[in-house]
Amino acid sequence: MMRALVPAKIGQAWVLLDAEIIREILGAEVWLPIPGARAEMPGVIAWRGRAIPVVDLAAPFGVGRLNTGETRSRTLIATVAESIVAVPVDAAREVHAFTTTELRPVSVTTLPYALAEAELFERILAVIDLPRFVSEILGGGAPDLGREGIVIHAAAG
Amino acid sequence: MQPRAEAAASRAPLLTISAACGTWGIPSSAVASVEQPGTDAASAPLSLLTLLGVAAPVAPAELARVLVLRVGGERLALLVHGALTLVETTAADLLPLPAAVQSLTPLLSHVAVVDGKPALFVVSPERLLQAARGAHAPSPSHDSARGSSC
Repeated sequence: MMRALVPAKIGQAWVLLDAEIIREILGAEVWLPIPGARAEMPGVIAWRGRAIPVVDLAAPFGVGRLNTGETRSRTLIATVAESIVAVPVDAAREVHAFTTTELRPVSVTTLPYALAEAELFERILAVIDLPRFVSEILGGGAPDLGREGIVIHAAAG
Repeated sequence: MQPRAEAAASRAPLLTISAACGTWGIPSSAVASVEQPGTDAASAPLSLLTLLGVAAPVAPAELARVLVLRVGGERLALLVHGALTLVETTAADLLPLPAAVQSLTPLLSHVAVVDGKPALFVVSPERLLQAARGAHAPSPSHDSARGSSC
């Protein structure tokens, strides 16, 4: 049994995200700040004729949050909890497949929302539970957006 | 080439207000007039930013205007501060806000895309009217918890 994960960099931290929920990897995207929004969901972007929320993993990670007018070089488009969200990251690499034995319980990394750990790039990376993070932000108010097929485009950081 | 009638039908021009806290749009079809604020404090119109829950820095009085909206046969006067501009958009440029964002900003209905980028939020005149009714109704106190500074 293999699990496909996308390495993504936020600040100085590399993490792994489930590839099956990533629909696209875009470049830097201009986003519109939501007045009074929390740092975890600071704005919206336009994607395929719809507005989708931007969720910022840097906020729970305690690294440099997205400030108004700032962008990150890559934007992951993810389908989570029947919603589509944009996750700005500083870099993203090609999908890596891990066996279940390569995924170990969290013991080295200290990031919140870590589900497991795996070794890549000669370091230990946390596998982040993006669906849980997004569910907590959206608070159950998930819009009924389409459930189209997942298309993952190869991307380099 | 798009037929003229079809093009006219898809037009959705916005009156935009560029304030220190950001830019907001109101469908221009709902704007009956733009007026100078009066001097009678007792009949002062509600502030748009107050209704939106945005705490803005004090703006120069010369930037103040009163937008008079016509919503479903009712008249709503709003005090705004900032540069007013008419922006030509089409219905396709107005993207409905996702529910997660709507819950945070109930008076906003759409994001307007200008030059391919999300440029401003569109305020719903109907929801503004409802909020204004609530603001005029007797209430124990202002809901300052929803306020946010920019």
